[in-house]
Amino acid sequence: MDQFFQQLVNGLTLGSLYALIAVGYTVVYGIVQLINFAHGEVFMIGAFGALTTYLLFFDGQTGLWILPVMLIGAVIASVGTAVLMERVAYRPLRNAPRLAPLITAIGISVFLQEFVRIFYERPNWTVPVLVALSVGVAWVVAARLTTVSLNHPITKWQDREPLIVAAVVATVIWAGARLSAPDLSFLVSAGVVVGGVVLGTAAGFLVARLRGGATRSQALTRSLVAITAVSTVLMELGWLIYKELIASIEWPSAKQRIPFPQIDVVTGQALQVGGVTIQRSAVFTILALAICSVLLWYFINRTRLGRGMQAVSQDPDTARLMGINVDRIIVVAFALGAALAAVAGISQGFQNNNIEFRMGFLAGLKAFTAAVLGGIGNIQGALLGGLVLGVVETLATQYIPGQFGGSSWKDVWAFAILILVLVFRPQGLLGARVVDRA
Amino acid sequence: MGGTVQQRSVVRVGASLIVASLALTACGSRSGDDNGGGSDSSTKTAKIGVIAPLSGDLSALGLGIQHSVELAVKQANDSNAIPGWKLEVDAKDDEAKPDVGKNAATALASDANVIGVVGTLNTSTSQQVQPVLAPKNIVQVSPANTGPGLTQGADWQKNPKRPYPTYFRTCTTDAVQGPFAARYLFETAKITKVATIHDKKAYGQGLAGTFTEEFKKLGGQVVAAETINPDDAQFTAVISAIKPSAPQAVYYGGEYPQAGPLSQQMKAAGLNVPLMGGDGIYDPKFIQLGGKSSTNDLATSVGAPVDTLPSAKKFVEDYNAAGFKEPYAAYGGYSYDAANAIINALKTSLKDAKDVESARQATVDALGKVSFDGVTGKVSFDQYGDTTSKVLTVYKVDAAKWATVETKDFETK
Repeated sequence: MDQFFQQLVNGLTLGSLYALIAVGYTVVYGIVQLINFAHGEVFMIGAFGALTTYLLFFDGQTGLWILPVMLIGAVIASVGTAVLMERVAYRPLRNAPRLAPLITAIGISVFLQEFVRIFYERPNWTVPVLVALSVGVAWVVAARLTTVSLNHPITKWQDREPLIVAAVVATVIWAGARLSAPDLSFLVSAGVVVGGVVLGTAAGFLVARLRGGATRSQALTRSLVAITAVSTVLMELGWLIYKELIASIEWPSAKQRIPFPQIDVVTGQALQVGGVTIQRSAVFTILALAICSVLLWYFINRTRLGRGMQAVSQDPDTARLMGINVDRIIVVAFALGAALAAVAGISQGFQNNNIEFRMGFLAGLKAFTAAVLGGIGNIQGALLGGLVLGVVETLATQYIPGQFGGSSWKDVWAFAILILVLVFRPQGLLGARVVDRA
Repeated sequence: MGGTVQQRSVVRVGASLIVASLALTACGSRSGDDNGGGSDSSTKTAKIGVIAPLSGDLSALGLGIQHSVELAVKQANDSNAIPGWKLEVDAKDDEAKPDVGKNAATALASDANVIGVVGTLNTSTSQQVQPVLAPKNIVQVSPANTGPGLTQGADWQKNPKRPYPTYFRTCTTDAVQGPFAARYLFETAKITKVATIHDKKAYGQGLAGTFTEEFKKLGGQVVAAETINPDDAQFTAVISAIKPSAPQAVYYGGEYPQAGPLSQQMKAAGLNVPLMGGDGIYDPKFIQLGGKSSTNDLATSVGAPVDTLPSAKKFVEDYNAAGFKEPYAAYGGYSYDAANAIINALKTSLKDAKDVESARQATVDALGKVSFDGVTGKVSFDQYGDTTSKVLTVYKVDAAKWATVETKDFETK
């Protein structure tokens, strides 16, 4: 009997992991009817985000207080990836045939895997990202400082061009200076900032003058100075971060499994309850699922955004008429799933003690199965489906004897359950909550 | 409508900028490894191929193989070991997958300058590589294949028969390694109850099979036999399944990417017994993945420890002096010996040869008669192409390092 409870605990642990990932599939499907096959990679990037945070700030330490920081790092990485993915890959395909976003999802999934595999040990890809971020922030600041509408429906390029030219000139000066003098020195920094501001502003002013005349260029001067100053200062700051923090660390190669940091309390000696051994990471995973599902329930049912999500999933057109910003709700759905996947990524790291760039593939497939098992589009269904799938897998390992038993057949039994459910109860265990409007 | 079109073009320009900058950084970080052409017209070129996993989980072992061969070839070229000939290394990645290895072998076999191949790491890959290289008479010397069937045929226990005369290896086989581990556990460590787990690959299954047979013959008890999938990362279910049978040790047939996490998860689940494996887990990465609790885990590996043999000191020094980025790993010594065995054979076969293709058969014949003192001991081959040396070593994890426990000659009983 101990053995049964032992495998039950193992199964619930595994199932909690699947459940946390499955929510991401189900929420996104419920709102945009898209199977986001790249969600497994979001989970993988969550784990890598946690590892990155650990390597950046706490390498070698094991205190429990690191855990929340790692969680934040993981969530930022996952949510950032998911939101960017939605913006770049799915939003342009919003009205395309269903197959197009599905294939895009598979493409994104391969891209993310390969990106982590190739670039994790070469952090210089962060430099263009930091530069792009700096210019982006500078743009926002500059846009606030002018009375000219940069989104004017007819003439916006006329007003944007000076700002873009100023930013590009400042960036080019910065890049040229830093390529020739990559070492940190105050003199170069000051030169870059002053030179960038003067030359960038001058170039921008010239363009403004040529395109819009004297009054326009007057109105844009403040923004021009702001965009060059903010972007050069932020780029220098980014370079400092890159040099001092990112480039100073020996990044492990993601082409092999990377050991995951071990944290006090959540990893270590297993707990013994009667005859059942419970690993600390299992407690962490199950607790994480419990807390996340309570928060999720609160978010969906008690907040404005959550109710907006429900409305959009029932009828997006009417929801739009009621004043709900559907695009924002979709982003929130992606972010929500990604945050839970990040928690799952950390749990998996603690449980298996290692992470790798391929870990999202099978986990994603299993979580998708769990979502379908519980009824796709149904959040409670995803949680239940994950737990059922995990328990079936472990019990099959233990109790199916002979040729078809044992650990190597566990995936087969997990998918066999899926087939049985789909044959006899196609809407899933708790019923799919999707209005079919294809 | 004009607005959306313009917005699209912003996205397009932005996306292409990002792609361009990524491409630039990628290019910037790649070091130019152009060796520069212009070979001397009076010297002819012969290539020694390498087929090993240069990327993926097992790349630590594969890159060690590649660099060790490069070292041997460089030394041969520097000392002008084969007058009139210049040797080159052509390393191909097999990703530890049999089908990729087969493609690599096909590419090498179609190159008229290839005279021999060092590789592969995995037994299952060699099974695909052998039939490609054999018809072209290209010698293959593996530093790491331990599957007995490769040299003695599928029915190697009852009716050994050499399938490919072009295949040789510098390491001993599972026919020796599994029983050696069984004898160590039963006779030296006084363990009578073990559980076995393997990953169903040719190497793992063979190792676990020969281990089980010998352990039972000695009078020990195999209380549980389980398998895992080669891609698994989560082993709690299988650990819980074997735990109630209370084994005193777990014997694992497979490689370190699974063995490390398996050991860690075993201990975390309260199964505090040593995990023992073959040469596939004898790697620093195993300890890194297994964490602190991997202390006292055991591994057997072929030959005597490379860094203790006097003949190996020079190899280690030269390797470190050559400045390779990756360490020589578990099979560096065997790869160096394998490359030198080929080079030794080439000394006789290439001497008067017009071109590489006509010298291939002579190389196969010469390699069978090679005999010299290598890094890992005496290098020579028996009638099946197996190494004549049957020395094995037991290692134990101690203070996050592999420490030698005992080195022994395996005697057939």
